Parts: sequence; C-alpha cells; structure tokens
Amino acid sequence: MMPTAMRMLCRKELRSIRPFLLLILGFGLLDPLFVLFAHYPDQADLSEWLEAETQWEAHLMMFFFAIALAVGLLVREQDEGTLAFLDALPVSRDRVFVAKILVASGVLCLYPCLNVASAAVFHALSRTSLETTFPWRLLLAGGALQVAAGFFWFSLGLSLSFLRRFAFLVLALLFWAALALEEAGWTPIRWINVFSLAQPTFLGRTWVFPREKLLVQAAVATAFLALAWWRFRRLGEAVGDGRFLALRRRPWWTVLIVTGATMVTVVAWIGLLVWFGKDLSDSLPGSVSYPQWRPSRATTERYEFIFPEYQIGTMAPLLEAADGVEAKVRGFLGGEDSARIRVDLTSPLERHAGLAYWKSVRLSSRMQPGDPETLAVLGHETVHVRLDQLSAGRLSDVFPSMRLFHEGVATYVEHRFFATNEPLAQSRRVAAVTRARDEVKVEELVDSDLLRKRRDPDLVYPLGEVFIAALVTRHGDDAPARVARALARPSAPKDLVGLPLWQDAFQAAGCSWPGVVDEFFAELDRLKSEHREWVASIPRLRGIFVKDADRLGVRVANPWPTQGFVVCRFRASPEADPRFYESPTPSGDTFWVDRSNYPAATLGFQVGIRRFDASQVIYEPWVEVRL
Amino acid sequence: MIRALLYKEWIQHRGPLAVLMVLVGLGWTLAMLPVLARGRELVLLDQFRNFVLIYGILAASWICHRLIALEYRGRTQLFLEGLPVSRMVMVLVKYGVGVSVFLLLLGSVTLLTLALEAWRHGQEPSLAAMVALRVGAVGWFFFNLCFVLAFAGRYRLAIWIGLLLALLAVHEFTSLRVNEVGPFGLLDQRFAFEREWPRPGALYGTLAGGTLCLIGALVLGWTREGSVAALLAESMSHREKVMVALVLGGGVFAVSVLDERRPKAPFDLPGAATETRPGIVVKVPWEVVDASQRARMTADHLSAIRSFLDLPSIPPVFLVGRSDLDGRHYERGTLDQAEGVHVQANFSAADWDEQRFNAWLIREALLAATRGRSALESRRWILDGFSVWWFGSGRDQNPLETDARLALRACYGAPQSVSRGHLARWLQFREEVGPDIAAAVAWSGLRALERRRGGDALRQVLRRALGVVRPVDGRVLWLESEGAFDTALENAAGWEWQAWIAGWNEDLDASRGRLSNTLAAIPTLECQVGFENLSAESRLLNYQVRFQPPDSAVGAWSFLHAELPAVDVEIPPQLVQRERHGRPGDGMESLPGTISVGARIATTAALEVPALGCEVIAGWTRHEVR
Repeated sequence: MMPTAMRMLCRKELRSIRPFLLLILGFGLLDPLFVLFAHYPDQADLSEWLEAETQWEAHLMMFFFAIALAVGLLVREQDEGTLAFLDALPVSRDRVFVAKILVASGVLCLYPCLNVASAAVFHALSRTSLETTFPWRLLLAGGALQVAAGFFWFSLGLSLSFLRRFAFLVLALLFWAALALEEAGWTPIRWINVFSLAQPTFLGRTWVFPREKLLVQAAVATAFLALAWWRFRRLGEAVGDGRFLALRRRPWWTVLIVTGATMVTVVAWIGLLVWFGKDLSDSLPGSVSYPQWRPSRATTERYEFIFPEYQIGTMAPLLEAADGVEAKVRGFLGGEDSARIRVDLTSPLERHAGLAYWKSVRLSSRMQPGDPETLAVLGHETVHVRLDQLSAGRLSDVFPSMRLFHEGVATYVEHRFFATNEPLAQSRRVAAVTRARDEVKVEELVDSDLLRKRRDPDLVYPLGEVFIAALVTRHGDDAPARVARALARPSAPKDLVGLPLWQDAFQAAGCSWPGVVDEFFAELDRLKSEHREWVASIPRLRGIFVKDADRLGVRVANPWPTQGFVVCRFRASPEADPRFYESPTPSGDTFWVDRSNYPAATLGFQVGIRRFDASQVIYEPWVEVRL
Repeated sequence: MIRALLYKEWIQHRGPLAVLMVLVGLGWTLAMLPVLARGRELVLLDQFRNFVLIYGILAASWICHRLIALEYRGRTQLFLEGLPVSRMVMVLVKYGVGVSVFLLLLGSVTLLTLALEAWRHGQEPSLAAMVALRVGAVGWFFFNLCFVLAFAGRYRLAIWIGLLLALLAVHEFTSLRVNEVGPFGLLDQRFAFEREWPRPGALYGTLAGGTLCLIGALVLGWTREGSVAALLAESMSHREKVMVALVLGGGVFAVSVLDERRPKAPFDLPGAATETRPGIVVKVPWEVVDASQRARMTADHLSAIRSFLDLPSIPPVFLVGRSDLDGRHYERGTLDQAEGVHVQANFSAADWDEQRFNAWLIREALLAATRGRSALESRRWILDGFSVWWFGSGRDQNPLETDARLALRACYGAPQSVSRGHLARWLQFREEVGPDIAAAVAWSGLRALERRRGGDALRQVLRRALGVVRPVDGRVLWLESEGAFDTALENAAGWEWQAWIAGWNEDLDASRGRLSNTLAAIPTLECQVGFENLSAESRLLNYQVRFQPPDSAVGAWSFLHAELPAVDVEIPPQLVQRERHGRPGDGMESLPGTISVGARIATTAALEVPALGCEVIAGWTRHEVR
C-alpha cells in the first residue's frame, strides 16, 4: 500500500498530465476507429499488425508521446513557479521524481495497451478454424517492445528537458549524429537504434526478442533517467538556473543563439523528415507485384532437380528421360557411378541455356522442361560434369587451354545422342564458313583468350564438335575419355598450357595429335566442299568506323544481305569480358554507341551475320580503331 | 507619428533583424556550397528554389513573430494603441517594416544567386528578371501568409500543420494539382530551367492569395479594437494543446478514412485485346495466343456470373501470359493503389486445363467483387463449390454422377457423412482433403440443394451468399450474421439446415454405392513425420508415407512442406515446397537441410490420381519443432 504522501503526489501528477492522458487515449482509439470506419473488422487478423510498417507507426507514436510528455514533466515545476511549493511539502525531491516517473510511465503505457487490445479484439473477430490457440504471446511481445521503446524515449526526453527550447535541437542533432555514424559504418550505433525494435523477427509463433539490444538500450535509458534525476534534484539551486533558457528578456547576443538554434532546429527536423520519408514505399501507383514461389526438388537415380514449384506439371518428361541422358553420357565417356548431379532450374540465365560447375548444372528457367532441346542441353552439361570428374578437375584448372576440348566433347555428344540432324547441320555450316575464310588457327583454338581477342569465343562449339568427331573417327569412341583421364594422371606435368598441354594429354592417351589435327582439317575441308553454295551466300562484311560529337559508330559498307540480319558489337578493349560487349540495334546502316562508354584510346568492333540456318552469328574478325 | 513608429520598430528590432540577416546569409552559403563544389554540373537556381521555400518561410515567420506575436503576447501593443494613431496605421507600419526587410533580404540573396549563376553559366538579363519576379511574388505571398498567421497567435503552428494537411488532401482527392498553382506553380521543378515568363494563372493566383492574407491580417488586427488578436496571442494551456493535437489528429484520421474508402482507379493494360460487357472489362495482351478469343470467352463467363449472382460489377480482369508456368499453376498479382484482378498463366502449356483455370479465375473474380467477403470461412465452401458447379454439366435432378469426376472426388473427400461442423471449420477441412477434393464436396452440397429445391432456389441462395457487396466498415458485423446461409436457405429454398444436410448425405451415399469399385481403387495416404535431434537448435525432418491399399499408388508421389508464418492462415501455394519421388517406397526419407527449434512447418504427402484428375493428400499437419 502506497504511503499517503506518495498517493497524493501521484494524484496531483495525474491531474496535471490529464491532458496527455486524453491525448494518448484519443490517438490510441484512432487506430481501431480507422478499422471500424474503413475496413472489415472481421478480416483484420494479426498478420497486418505484425508487419514492420504497422509496428513502426506504433513506435513512432510512442516516440512522439514520450518526448512530448517528458520535455515538460520536470522543468515545468520551475518554469511555472511551483517548485518552491513542492519543496515546502514534507516530501523529498526524490519522491516527487519517483511519483512523476511512475504516473507518466503509466500514462505512456496506455498507448501500447490500447494498441494491443484493439489488435486482439480484431484478431478474435477474424480467427479461423486453422488457429488452435490465441496468439497472446505475440501480442504481448509486440506491446512489450513498444513499452521498451517508449521507456527509452521518455528517459532521453527527461534528460534533455532541462535544455528547454534547445531540447529539440539537441534531439535532432543526436538523430543526425546517429545517422552519420551508421552511414560511416560504425556498427555499435545499431545497438541503440530504438526504431529497429519495430522490425519484427519471428521463429515460428515466437517473436524473437533482441535481448542484447534491449539490455543495452535499457542501460542507456537508465543512464538518461539517472541524469534527469540528478538534474531534478538540483533544479533551482544554481543562481539563474534555467533563467538563461527561460527568460524572455535576454542580452542581445542570446538573440543570436536562440534565433539560430530555432532555425537550425526547424531545418534539422525537416531534414530528418525528408531522410526517413525517402525510405517509404517506392512502389509506383498502378504497379503489380507477384509473390515469389519456393523451389521444389525431384530426385531420380542420377539427378537431383531443383525447380520452381510452378513447373512441377511440366517436369515429368524431363524426369523420366533424365537418367537415360546420364546413361548415354556415361556410356560414351565411361566412369564409375557417382553422386547425383544437381540440376538447378531456378535461374533465368541471360546468355546461356546451361552452365556446369563440378557436380552441378544450371539450366535456364526459361527452358521448357518438356522440350527435347532441354534434354539436349542437359546432356551437354552432363558431359561437362563427367569430364571434370574424369580429369579430377584438371580440365577446369586449364580451361582457357582446353575449352575447345570441353565444349567440343559436350557439343559432339549433344548432337550425336540427343539432337536432331538440323542443329548439327547448322553447327557444321558455321565450321565450314570459318574454314573457308581460313580463320581456323590451331594456336587460337588452344588458347580461348586469344580466340576471344581475335574472333568469336563461341567458335569452340562448332569447331570443337568437328575436332572431337575427328578424334573419335581416328581413335575410337573412348578417345575423349582417355584424353580426359590422361590429364588426371599423377605424372602429368603441372605447368603445361596451350599446345604442349594438348600434345602431352594426347600422347598419354595413346592418340596422335598431328593425326587428329590432320583429320580435323580434312573434315573441315569436306564440310567446306559440302556447304560450298551456302558458304558463298555469306558475304564478307566490311565495317567503316564513323563518329560524331557524342557517338561512335560502324557503317556496314556492303549492301545488306537479303537473308539474315547484320549485327555489330563493340568492346572497350581486347581484354573486355564478353558480358560487357555492346550490341546496339542499327540506325539505318550504321550501328551507334555512346562515346562516353568508351573512355580509352581504342575501341573494338566486330560485324557479323545472323542466319536462321546457322547455329550462331558468323562474325568477321575484331577490328581495333584508335579514337 | 508614422516616423516615430518606424523609428520605434527600428530601435526594437534592429539587433535581431541583423542577426536574422547573418543567419540567412549563412544558410544561403551552406545551401549553395554543395552546388558550387560540383563545378558546373549543377545549377544554383535549383538549390535556390529549396532555399527560398525553407529559409524564406522561416525568415518571414520569424520577422512576423517579432513584429506581431511578441508585441501582442507582451501586451505592449496597448502602449501603441494609446498613441494618437489608428490601429490600422499601426498594423500597416509593422507590415511595411516587415515586408521591406524581408523583401530586401530575399532580394539580396536572389541578386547574389543570379550574379553567381551568370558568372558560372552565363544567362540573359530576361532570365534574371523572370527569376526575380517569381521569387518576389512568392516571397510576398509567404510573408503575407506569415503576417496573418502571426495574428493567430498561439494557434499559428496548428494552422500551419492544418494548412499542409489540407493542401495534401486537396492534392489527393481533387483534380487540382497543388504543385502547379499559386506559389508552388511559380517555384516548381522547372523554376531553374524555364526560360518563359510565369504563367498568368500562377502569378495572379499568388498575388491574389497574398492580398487575401493581408486583408485577413488587417481584419484580425482591427476587429474588436484588436482584442481578438490580443486574446489569440496568449500562450496555450495544456488542455488547449491537447485539444489542438486531437483536432489535427482527427483531421488526419478523417483524411485517412476518406482516402481508404475512396474507390481506387482501375488498373489498365494499354494495347491489349479488350472485351467489355455491363459491369465487366477483360483485357488480354496481344502476345497471348488467341488473345481476343480468350478475352471474349472470359468476358462471357464473367458476364453470365454477374447476372446470375446479381452483382453490380466485377473489377476489371487482366489475363497475362507467363510462359514458364505449367498448365496447372496460376497466380494473381497485387495491384498497388489500383483495382482489378491481374493474373498470370501459361495459356499455351501442354497440360493446360481450361475448365480448371476458369474455375480458379471466377473464384478470384468473386473474391475481388465481394472484397474478400466470400473468402470468410463461414461461406468459403460456397465459393469453392460454386466455382466448380458453374462449369459442371449436371443440373436440376440429374444425379451427381453426371459429373463423374466431381462425384468421385466428392465421395472420396467425404467417406462418411458431411455435417455442419465440416462447413463451420471449412478451412481445416480443406487442409485435410486438398482444395480440389474440398471443392467437389462443396459442389455436391450445392447440387443437393439444386436437385431437391430447383435451380431458382439455388440461385437465390447463391445470390445471398456471394452476390451481396457490403459497405467496407464496422456495420458489416451487424449486417451479416453467422446464420446468413441458414436464413437464405429457409427464405429462398424453404428448407432447414438439417433437412438439407440429410439430403446432401443421401446423395453422397447413393453415389458412393454406385462408384464403390472405383473408389476402392483410389489410394489414401498416411504420412508420418518425425524430427531427429542433430543439435540443441537443429532438427532433421524424417518422413514416411504409406498408401492404402499398398499397391494402389502408381507413379510419382510427393512430400509437401511449407514454412508457416507466425499467424495461422491458409498456406499460400507460393510457400509450398515439394520433394518429388519417382515411385512409392517403404523407407524413411529426409528433408535436405535442417530445421531450427521453434520453427513451424506444415507437411503432407500428395499423389496424383488420374481417376480423380487431381492430387489427393494425406492432410496437412502443422508442427511446431521442439
């Protein structure tokens, strides 16, 4: 039972802050009234209340109430001249302080209570049979965090209240200091970011409390409270205490300070509003958003497929045929049973239909699982995986030198076992025209960086297929596997690249490098002859470099071909990654690019023809120009 | 005497005004420095616009505060009123001093800015004149506004906030673009770049507004011998502060409610095949195969449903193609601040089921038309059943088996009798049997009503359940009661609940008898889940599925799981993950990955049954991992 003096003090405090009580009650009722006026109360379950935005609004209200209540709670006694009356009472300053804090805290807690109560009522109206227990713990947790945040702001407000009109200026500066520290990457500031309490984290039905953060904030709040208590005990002791800040008539130089402080305060708070306002919803009115689907998994004997759940209906043909694909690849390359190959179909690969990494494969999510083309790509990528396994990863280590081999075997297997005749013919036409132009150079084929710098790195596909076909013709179906295993032999030299690497691997595999190369070129010549007319229909394109004030361009000198499309791509330097090549659409007969994208002294361009009866664009060699 | 007054103002305010000039100069420097630091990249006038809007208003407000508010609060105006000058002259002198100082200040920084800009970029004299006119007009307006608000004394801050809110409300709720009229039209985003004289509308509006403010100030200063202004100048008590805060809060509340209740603009899909019927709009982008035919077909369906249920309208429907979906997955998007039903589906999928999609679509359309009321648990079964019934071939007294597949699903989903409890906890029942089976059970209930009471009675009942659009506020709690379907059944069909349930079970029993052989061959699933301790915080989920009869499961089966949110709601399809297995096995399987203690997960097993044309499930079970 509270002593009489305390009870009287508390009653007196309650009377004096009754307006705040009304304010908090009024604003606390606005939320449920809003639901009653603008929503269906029986369709307002806790889901929205638990969202970060809703919690943030509640925390913001607690901030306003706590600061508004705190800034006048203690100093008002001095400013209104009632301090002397209080001191005359048979109660200590400490008791007065405790009474004020107790009553004000109680009034502040009304808001979270109303907030939680209204959320509980609406949730009760909106419950369904799926919910077996009422989520009291969630509600109480949310309310407790609001109370914790309110306690922090209240304590801060109390300690700043002695600055009177400068309190808001200091508060604004504290916010800006905290923002600056956070932007500068000083992570300890996050421990006292009270607004972060509004970001809920759930584990099941449990609201995960940031315990350490709450402890730190509670400690800081207690320190603020102690400071306010210490200051309140000394209120009115010093001569002129608060007078400077409270008096209306001041020396002229104080006008400068006060006016300046007022202006800075307003500007600082406007700045804070703008800063936080820019983080509000960025969605455009009239935009539409779709939820993300979760990935699902399907396993076969040899594969583990990861795919979006919404593709389950079309996965069946791929799943049924997948093990057969792997069997064919293993039948061709040999090798022991190994762990399932993971196939990821969840990413829309921009430039490739598929990619392989050691024991996993990525297929573009744009591929239709039921399409025969998808099986062909799966076969192609499975070959990469098996080759890496056979070579114990050595092929990947020396990939720039062995890219022809890697892609050649994969493309050869793809066309031989999975593709129809037409894709093979399209690929071989490209090989034929490349041979006809005398652009098949062994030193480039065994160095993909060089090939990329001079020609088109994707030539490894058609030329590699012909090369491996030559290898197989000369040394049998098991030749590619033997070459791959040869790279993995313990006695293989470790530092070889380029041609010596190929020669060593071929020799160790019992294959004749010169013989295969001869067979390769013989086959290319045969293709050149077979597709003579087609090759003749592909014109040699000549690009003329042009420029104006803002742009760089290439004008194609020849008449544009009647079949196919002329294309042109640009690069900043020979070392540029193909991902950064620029391929503009033509304007008339000229391809333009923005000059500012090419700050270096040179630029490279490459013109080509895209034909639907060819597997890829047929490019001329790169041309470097000085800018 | 006027000179004396002027001298008095000069003596009283020269110091503070000098301080103000220093501060404004400082503010101008700080505002312009970042622009100057970026060389010629930025234009000074663009930043100057922000400076005028912030510092201009602050300076005007402060000047008026010193000239008016302090005078009246300190009651020193009584001394002035004792002098042989009229109150009007006194006010006009104050106005003259204030506006002169303010325009001098504003003019100085404007000239400085123009000179600096001319030096950096070069500009024509006419541009300087245009800028000076704009800034001058806006400055004069804001000073007059601050002058009249200074007379409002203790309420001026509240009035400022109220004005801002009012401007926002006007901008949101009317066609008037506040940023294009009056002073905001003169200082818009083109201010720094426009090479034309200000639009007369904006200029005259600004001048007219400023004049009105000045007249208001004079009226306030003169009314009742200035006693109104004197009263307003007194400090606010706590009660008044709270009252003002509540009034402002109430204003914000009212605007929020109006904004929430305002009909949203319909979403639009330009350049699409469009079909309209009364109360119906359907749009399909031309990229979709047979776009116009699809739009026409969908519009016909929705129009027929709208008439059948007597709905006033159905929100616009947009059917967009998405080629990576399979034929049985569709998705509905959330439109931001717009109305409509925006869906994505793969209309060209090899496994496309037109009827299934249409049933799903009308369910979504009715959800939108009834603003979600048809999804309330108490009537959800009606929505599920109706979307299937609409496309069913059986009507009137035809037995359930007229729609053989639906009848089979219904009998499978309700192996024993259906009760009122099933309808009361419909979402739970849905999770036990799966959405397709549950919809068939609901369909059989509607068919039972139709078979015994006729199509008209069914229609009346459905209109009451699905065709009523309630106002979006708390009145819905009184307008609708739990027994709405009871009432509709009695009034429209002349039937009591018990009789209807009995008839329903009769139909199901009859169908079960006739379909018993087929039913016996359809497997039921049992899924057991266990959690294996890997550590104090991590668990491994193991599962085993059994089929009854053991050899009835042909083909692939799946283990479905979904992480549950904190609140128990329906499991959205996007959260479901699947572990597909090639053939039934007896062994224990495990989920890849681990689950944390405290997490919530729902699990079930599923098997596609060709005879039913859908998946059957073991029933979702919700677990809390301990």
